[in-house]
Amino acid sequence: MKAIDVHGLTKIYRGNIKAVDNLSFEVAEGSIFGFLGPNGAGKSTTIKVLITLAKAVQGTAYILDVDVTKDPGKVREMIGYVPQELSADGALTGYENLLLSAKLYNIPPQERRTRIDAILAMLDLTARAHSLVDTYSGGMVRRLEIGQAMLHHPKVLFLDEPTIGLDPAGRKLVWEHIRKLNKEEHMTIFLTTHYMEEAEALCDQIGIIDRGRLSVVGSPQQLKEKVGVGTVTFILDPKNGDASVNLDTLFKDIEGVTISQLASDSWQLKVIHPEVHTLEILRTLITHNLPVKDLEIRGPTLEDVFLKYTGSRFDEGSVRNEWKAIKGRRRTVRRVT
Amino acid sequence: MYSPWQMIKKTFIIFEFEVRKLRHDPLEVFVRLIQPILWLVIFGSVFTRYRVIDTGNMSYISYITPGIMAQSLLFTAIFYGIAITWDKDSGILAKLMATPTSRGSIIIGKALSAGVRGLLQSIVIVFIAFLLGVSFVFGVVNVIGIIIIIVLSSTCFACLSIVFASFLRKRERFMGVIQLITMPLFFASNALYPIELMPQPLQYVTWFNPLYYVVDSLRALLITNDLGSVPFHIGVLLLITALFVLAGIWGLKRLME
Repeated sequence: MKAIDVHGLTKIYRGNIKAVDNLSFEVAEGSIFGFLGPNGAGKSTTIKVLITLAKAVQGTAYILDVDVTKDPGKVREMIGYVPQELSADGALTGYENLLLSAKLYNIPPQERRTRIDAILAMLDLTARAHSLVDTYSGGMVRRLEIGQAMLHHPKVLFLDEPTIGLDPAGRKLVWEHIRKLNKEEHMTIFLTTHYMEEAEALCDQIGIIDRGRLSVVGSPQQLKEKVGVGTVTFILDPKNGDASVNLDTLFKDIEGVTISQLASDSWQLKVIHPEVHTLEILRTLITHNLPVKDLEIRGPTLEDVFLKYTGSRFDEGSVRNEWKAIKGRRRTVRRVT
Repeated sequence: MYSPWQMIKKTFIIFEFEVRKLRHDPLEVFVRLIQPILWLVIFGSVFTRYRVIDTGNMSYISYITPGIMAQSLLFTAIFYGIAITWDKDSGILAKLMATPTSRGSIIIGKALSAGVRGLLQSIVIVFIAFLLGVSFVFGVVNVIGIIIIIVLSSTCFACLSIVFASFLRKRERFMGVIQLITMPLFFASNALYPIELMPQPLQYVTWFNPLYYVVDSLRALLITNDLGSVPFHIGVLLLITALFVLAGIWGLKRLME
């Protein structure tokens, strides 16, 4: 059985805006699925249809074999949802927010208290349970919301940008809880995110959506392999080098390589499987009397995957900025002189 | 889709938590009382003293007390649309609607809490009017009737407001338009003066004004004890409220899409 099964889903808003366009994908039970895409790509609309808040004009969507259009009531009982906004009610206490969820999800009265207490303890909120949520920090609200969404042990949990606006410590904590729910409760998790490191850290499968259509699906590793292209960036020592060598043609033997100059002394090669070609590149440079001051190898990242499949392109400015960042970090530095 | 029992249960859950919110922060209820008190104490006293408006045997302050009560019900409930747009913007509404709760329960639960606010405010208004010399009729039937009218009218106006919110979407726009609606509703009613004093065409307009039925019934139940027309007026109000609840459910779905 598939946790989520979407086929040919299309949603058109007033003014003929096609938010989702013939979208199809599946999410396996017990997995964490990351839904990535630029702003306005159709992520939130897809979630809205899946959690029964909006109706698609075409196509079908099933949650654990239940049709979201035909039996929304049953779907709502099986799912949990945490919206992008900090949506716990600030005018109620943390405990009351949980109690509201417990009652709305028909948890029997005799079980409510124990479940709520257990969740408060697990999320480290017991001490502040009876304070108004308005006085909570962003991370606490987020934890409370995850608590609200898991109180009834949903089979599928929808998280819309679960760590947006959180500090790194808060984000780590939320990640831990998400992993725990997935492992211990065997909960299927469907999340959208803008953060590539989040997708990489959490997701078994990633789907990239652009302009309402699914561009690609796969595990983070598969997607990166699909892109393949990484970069080898090096800085030459202008004082000792041979200025007459034409670098544009120096690496023409490497398959599929492209070279671009980032600054007067720095160059970047885009190449498939950069780690395989690094030695060869270094050897070529040394043979041509071009001493290398600094070098960084970078395999394909999810960001590359994202950029490739969402049609967004690096313009020159952003490449320069990236280069500045690399210079600043100096992570993989090797001196070869 | 949901059983009637589930719907009633969920309605009262939504209602319960709206009342809890009110209990955490009761200040707003009392701030909203300032305006009706000013109407009674200043406008009411002055107009009573100079007998500007002919209200028959009834003193003017007695005449407008039910009108001011109805006004306070209207002005409180009509802002529920703003609360709903706020809930929408903060994700609270989406989360609520993703739980197994019917849309009707959400609307009615919230609207009923407008009734609680209205009830609290009405008690204070009656007390102040009493201090100003208004004499009320008291009876079990009257009290029950008044509670029904308060709850119905609050629900009715809250739902009307939610329908407007679903069209206007932005809080700023909503504020402007609500001003535009509440004033005509209030002035084209029998809250401040008998409709017989209005020009003939305007008198017909009042038949379509729910506030007219609210004021008329409240006046009968609180002051005159002439209850003949009350059941009919409650019937009309019930019908309008039912229509507005349906429109409110539609508005809520529209707001979320």
